[in-house]
Amino acid sequence: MVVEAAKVEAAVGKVLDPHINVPLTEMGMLSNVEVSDCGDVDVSLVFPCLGCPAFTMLKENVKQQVQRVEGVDNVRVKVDWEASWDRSMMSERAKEYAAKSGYRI
Amino acid sequence: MNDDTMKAQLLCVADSNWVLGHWYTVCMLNGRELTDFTSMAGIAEDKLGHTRALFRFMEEYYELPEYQLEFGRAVDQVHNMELLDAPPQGWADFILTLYLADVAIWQVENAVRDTDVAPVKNLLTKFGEEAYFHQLCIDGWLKALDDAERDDLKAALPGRLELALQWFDEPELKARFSELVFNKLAPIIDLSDAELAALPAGDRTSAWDALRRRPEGSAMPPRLWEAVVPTSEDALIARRPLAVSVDDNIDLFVKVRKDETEPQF
Amino acid sequence: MSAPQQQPDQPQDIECPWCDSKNTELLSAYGPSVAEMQYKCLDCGQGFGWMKWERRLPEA
Repeated sequence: MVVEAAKVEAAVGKVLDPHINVPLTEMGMLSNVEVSDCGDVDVSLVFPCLGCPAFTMLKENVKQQVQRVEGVDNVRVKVDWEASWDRSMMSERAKEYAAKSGYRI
Repeated sequence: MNDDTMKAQLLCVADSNWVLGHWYTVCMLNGRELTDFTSMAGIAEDKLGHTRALFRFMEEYYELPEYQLEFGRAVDQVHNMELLDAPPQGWADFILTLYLADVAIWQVENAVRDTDVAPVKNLLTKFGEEAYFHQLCIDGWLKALDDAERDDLKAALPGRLELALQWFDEPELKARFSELVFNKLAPIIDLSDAELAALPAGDRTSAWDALRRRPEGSAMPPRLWEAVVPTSEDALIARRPLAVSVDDNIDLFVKVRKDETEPQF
Repeated sequence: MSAPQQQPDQPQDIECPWCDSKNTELLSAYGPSVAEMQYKCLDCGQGFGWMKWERRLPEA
């Protein structure tokens, strides 16, 4: 059974950034999804702050959500060391939501 | 830059940030107002975050066992800068040392950024973007010193500066570091030409470990090391479920060569 | 040495998320998270957090 990358992406979108409270995908924190034929999934994340106290928690939450996607066998959540987060990677929707909670992005 | 040089440079940066992060956590409550506390907590989080990011990256890049960089090294294998060995002697000495350490570490990080290894370049650039705000805070603290504290800073300068200068192997970085420091501090503490000339040049007096950027065989004092990697029973329990102990010393630089007397099969 | 003291630039023109005014003042370099600086709007009086990353580097 081939895993659909879009479903993996949707699963990552179920995890919220604990600071702004919007999905990681809207935060621009999902950097890459790789799916192999045998159900192995590699998810790469990029963090806005290197000291993020939710580092381990977010990786675990992503792993849990992706594990539930149909056909997924093994999930590896990695940090994309080559990517660098930027406010332009956040969706307009997320920026508007943040503004309503008192954050100017 | 060969691989061992880069590895050593990254460890010098990671381990110095590691100790610097603990300077902030231990001294945080000596702040004067709420913004001091939040800033010190924030900077500590960033500095320890830089250390963590480099440790995790190095584990992947150099194929090291997990968490051994934190918990599998003996104190004399840690590449922390000697500048941070002696505890702060007061508010002025504290701020001065934070300033010197931050500027010195960025000089080296900035130089190491000039590499073809994309993740290293990217990580160190991100460290700089965060350190920009650390230095913004330190600038504020330097500006807000009162007269007595300026005198304390002047008194603390030669000793701290000497260790900060010794840290540099690269003459051009060392020269630029001095320039930045003097430009920043001269207007604050009003150094005369004679005083300026009397400041140390950072010449090394003992045998030097070039990889660790410290005097050979030296290590941070035990009480500081205990703050960095606590060994109390409670701390060990708190570290679970990490299956690591502090006794497995990994040697990062000595390559294991096959012993020729080893029996051949 | 008499070189002028170099000051890192403080971010300018930070806009209030409540009323969009740029008449704002820095309260604290760090807030509830390391990612934000704390500002106060001088027009509507509300406080807010500003996500600080602007890709500036320290002097080297």
